[in-house]
Amino acid sequence: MLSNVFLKTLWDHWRATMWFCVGLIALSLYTSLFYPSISGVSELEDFLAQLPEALVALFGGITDLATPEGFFNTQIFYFMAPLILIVYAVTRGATAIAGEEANGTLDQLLSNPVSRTRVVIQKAAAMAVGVTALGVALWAGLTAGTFIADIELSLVRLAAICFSVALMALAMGLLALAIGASTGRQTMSMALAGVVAIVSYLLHAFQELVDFLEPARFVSVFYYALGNEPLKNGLSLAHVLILVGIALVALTVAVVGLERRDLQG
Amino acid sequence: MLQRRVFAFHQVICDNSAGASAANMPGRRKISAMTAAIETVALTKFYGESRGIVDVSLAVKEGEVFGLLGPNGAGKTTTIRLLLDFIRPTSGSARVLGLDARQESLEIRRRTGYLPGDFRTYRNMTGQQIFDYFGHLRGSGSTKAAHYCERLGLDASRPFRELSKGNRQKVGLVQAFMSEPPLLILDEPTSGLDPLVQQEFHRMIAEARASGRSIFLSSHVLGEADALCDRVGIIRDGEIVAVEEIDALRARALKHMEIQFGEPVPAEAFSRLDGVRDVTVTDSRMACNVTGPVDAVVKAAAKYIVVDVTSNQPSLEEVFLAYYAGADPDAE
Repeated sequence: MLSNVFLKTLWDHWRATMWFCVGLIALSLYTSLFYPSISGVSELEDFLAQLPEALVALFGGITDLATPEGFFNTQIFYFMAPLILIVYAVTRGATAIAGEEANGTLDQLLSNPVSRTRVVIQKAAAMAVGVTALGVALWAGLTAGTFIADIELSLVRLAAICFSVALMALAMGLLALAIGASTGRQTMSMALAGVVAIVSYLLHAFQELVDFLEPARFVSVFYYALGNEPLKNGLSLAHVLILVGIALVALTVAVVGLERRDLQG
Repeated sequence: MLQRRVFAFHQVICDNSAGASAANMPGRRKISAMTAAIETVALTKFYGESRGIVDVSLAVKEGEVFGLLGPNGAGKTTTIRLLLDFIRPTSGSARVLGLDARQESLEIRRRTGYLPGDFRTYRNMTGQQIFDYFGHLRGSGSTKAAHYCERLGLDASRPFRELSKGNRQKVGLVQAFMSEPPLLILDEPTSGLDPLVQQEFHRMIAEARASGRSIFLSSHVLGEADALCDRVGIIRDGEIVAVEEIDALRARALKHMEIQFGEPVPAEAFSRLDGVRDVTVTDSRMACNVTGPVDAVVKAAAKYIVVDVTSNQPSLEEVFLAYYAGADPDAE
């Protein structure tokens, strides 16, 4: 497991990654098993219809808990799953370079014949593998949940939205990597990427509610992950490409940013 | 791996081919330029406004042990980190093993073992895991690591976080030595080592030197340079103030001499001799400081009954203080 930076990074994080996956599977099963009892309560629909729109928006646009799509969108995909995957990815991204620098290990790593670019790319690849594992765990947990609770849901669409959320998380993680690699500042990269994610979430959550925010949804990564409602409509190629584009730009910034600067000793 | 093979290939071709055609090959230039292990030209580094090093020009010959001496903060670590491309010079340039420190850093690092001044590594990994990891990255493997662990008395099966300062330093030394590279760059190599381990380290340096490898080490402990180095450069406030053979440095330095006579002697018999100063005579005992050979003092003393002669080897601390004379006493 220690034959290159990529495998070593996976080895470093396999335990954390495993616990994130266990958590996601638990969340998925728990939420799925709730669905039958909630979808049977017709009063809930009336109650939701009476709620102020702002409150509805804040909690992920709970308008429809009676269909599996609406239920899972609200309970899993609008907030919880993105939160968990983004926390994972941003932590990986911020610690990848800036974390090694803070621990004083980057000099030592780079005293070996391995280029800075290679370190960034292999660490990014390890992050992508980790995020993918989380996405697969989410999908597997929900798939198991729908079988156990006997919920009718397209597993392909389910895979589409899990992919979409994972891709968004990866883009955010690479953003943290880019900031960390360019500045060497771990806490700041985590904080900045976190702010971008939160603002993205809020822009997406409130855009239907606040008219002047509507054009601003285009700067939200949540819009590109969830705006097309992948659980109902499948993936939008354009949105996927935009997320991939953000990820690639962030990776490029990370490579160039690290290549250009002095390492902190 | 691939690069190394390509390089070896060039070497074979160049060795077998006649001048004109071979001179055009990139591999040839690299080899013929490889006269100095390290060569810096007016190397300068500023961190924003603050001084790192200024106009450092050094040449470390192949096969020698060169010590960069100076107090903490003088610029030793800055110099070393420039050589390995961790930081980039404000101006000036450096070549290591004939290769450009900026453009060909990867090849330099492949052939250089490095121990940083403050060796820290992955806390959760054991020594052996660290050696395996770096051995893979170097393409050298870690088979030699066990040999050096045994010599230094390091238990490689323990996690780094549980090791004492001295044992951590041993991990650093083993990973620097294990690929047996042509150049070793060691920043304060003996810090934290107990005296017995230091002796073993000195033997490792002697063996590396005997097998033709070059060693560039920094130290603020002059006794260490005295024991290890062929030449030293003295760095002060970011500038090289002297580069000397260690023997010349010692020879030029002040020696303290004391002679016990069997009869009273006049001070004038010694005070006018070349290179002699600070003569004090108390009854039949004479003390003085001498620069250069002590020949004149010995010959002058021969006119009287000599009971005992003592001459102290100057410690490099004294030499060092001479270079720093007039410097801020708080600089250390």
